[in-house]
Amino acid sequence: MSVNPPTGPASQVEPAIYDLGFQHYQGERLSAWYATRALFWDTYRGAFGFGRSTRAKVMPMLLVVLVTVPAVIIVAVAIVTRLDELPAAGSQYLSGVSLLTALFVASQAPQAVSRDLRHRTISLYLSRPLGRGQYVLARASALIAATFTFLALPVTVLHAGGLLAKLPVRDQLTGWLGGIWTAALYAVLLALLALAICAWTVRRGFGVAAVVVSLFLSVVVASILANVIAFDADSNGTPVPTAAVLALAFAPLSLIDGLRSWMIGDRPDSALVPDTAALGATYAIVYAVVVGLSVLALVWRYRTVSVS
Amino acid sequence: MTVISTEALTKRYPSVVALDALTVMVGPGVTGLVGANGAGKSTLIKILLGLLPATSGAARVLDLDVATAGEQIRRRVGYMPEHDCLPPDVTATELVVHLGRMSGLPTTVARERAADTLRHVGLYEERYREIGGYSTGMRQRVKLAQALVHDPELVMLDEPTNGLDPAGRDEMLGLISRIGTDFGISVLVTSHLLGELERVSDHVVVVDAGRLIRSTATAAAMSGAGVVTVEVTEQADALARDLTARGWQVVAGSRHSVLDVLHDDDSVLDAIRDSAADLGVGLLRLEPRRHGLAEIFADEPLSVASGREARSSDGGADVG
Repeated sequence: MSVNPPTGPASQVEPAIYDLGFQHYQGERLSAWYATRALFWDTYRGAFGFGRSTRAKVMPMLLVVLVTVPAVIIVAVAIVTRLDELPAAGSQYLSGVSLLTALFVASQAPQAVSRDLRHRTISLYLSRPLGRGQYVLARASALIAATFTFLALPVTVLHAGGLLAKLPVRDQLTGWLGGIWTAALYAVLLALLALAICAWTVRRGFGVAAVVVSLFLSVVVASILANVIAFDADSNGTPVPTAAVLALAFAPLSLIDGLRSWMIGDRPDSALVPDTAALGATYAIVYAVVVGLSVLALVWRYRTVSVS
Repeated sequence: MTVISTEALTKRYPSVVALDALTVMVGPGVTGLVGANGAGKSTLIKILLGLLPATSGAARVLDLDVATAGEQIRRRVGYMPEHDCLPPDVTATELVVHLGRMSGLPTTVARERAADTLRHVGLYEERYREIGGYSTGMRQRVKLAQALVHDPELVMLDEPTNGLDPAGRDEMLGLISRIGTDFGISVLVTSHLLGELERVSDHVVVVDAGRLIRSTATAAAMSGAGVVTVEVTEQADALARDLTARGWQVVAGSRHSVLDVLHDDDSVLDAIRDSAADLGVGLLRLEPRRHGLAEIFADEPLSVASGREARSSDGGADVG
């Protein structure tokens, strides 16, 4: 008598798949801090397009080239025409390329945060040893580090070129240090601000647009405001009023510009930079507040994120 | 050994009680967690992963307290979410390697294990393609692979058959069964379909409105008594009478020519053969079946088979 054997699920699976058997892992399992470091490096490399698709490499690579080429040209001119100093120190150079910096953070911040939130990949991270805090720390510090690298590169090219042009070593060293310090000022504030905005705008395109618009629009509005106040003062023959300088503190790009000018004491690009200790301190405080609020916004976003 | 144990576990949200004094023990092997949507399955998994604090009560996973040892638990447990969670712009290999490192595997080990694990879940050359182009079935396999890449002692699979067609469902259930038996990894698998879990689970836990309805070992419940479905060309009534006279319990089947015969050993097959031969009727079908879980959960031993889903109510389950 034949009866239908119960068709178990195993009989429907290709046996070839399992011939080798599932290998168990007895080796060491590294700590959550190892995972944090691994996430940091993957995010850092990813910001320049490494480990991502060719399409994703285009934007960061293009920006790296654009931000470095003027430095190379300046060095070439300095060598050929035997200048006795560079036309721009590192810190001033970074003011000139701040729009490229804004584009860099705006294009890479969504990759660091929005992507995991939008596709809910965050669940796969949070169900692992890594904590929420470690996740945010790795992502944020990696974008800060990547932005810093993005800016430190042209500064280093510029002043290494200055040495090559046989300009005074002391000038090049102080110029380089000033540039590096300015790069750090830009990297910390712009990266955190962009991350905070992108963590709340889940769609990639919106995140990019929101960062670009908020950075550009704010600096345009603040500049117009400051110039109107300054023009008013100018026509009355009075010195540049404090109000004009304060107005510029409310746009991240001009805030950083003013702060580095005051801190490094280099040649101001315009008269509208803090020139008193009180104004400088105000700039520093505004900077700290913006950084603090960005961190709060980021942490708050991830406190409320759900796993399933 | 107990893999998961909860003790009066309660999770209260402002408006609903997700888990209501749930006490349950889960051993090694494949355990099905069955309940309607909103029964508290996902909440239970989040608490077991140490990601959500319980309002009261206690829970232990692999003998670790979920309230204090969440990180150690997540190191030794794999989790496959119910929802889609895969980024479209990376390949399956890249994603699984990355997540293997996130689970603490050194990079070279993560690479080896990612390739192995993807092969075990049935992804071969496709694993070098970006996930954005994958079918639902392939995505589910990637989700399963990332839960297994670090060789966990326990995997929690939240509705792994969701969105799959019948063939994909069977393959996924086959994989789950293999994880429990061949891979030697304990599995907690949730579903709102009792019918599919009964095929792969050693043990089934039924929850409703955050409360335990039943916790039953399927193997124990299914050994012993069984049922044979008989289909004949004619005279089904006469066959039923004859079998009843021979001492077997007979229940009318789904159609007129079909009978279900309850039995506790295989001699029933001989009796049916003899009875059919005596009556001179043609046997079209003779199909031994296990009890459906619906029947196990029913308080009655067996009623006319009309549905295989248990619909739970207070304290017990009725056959729907």
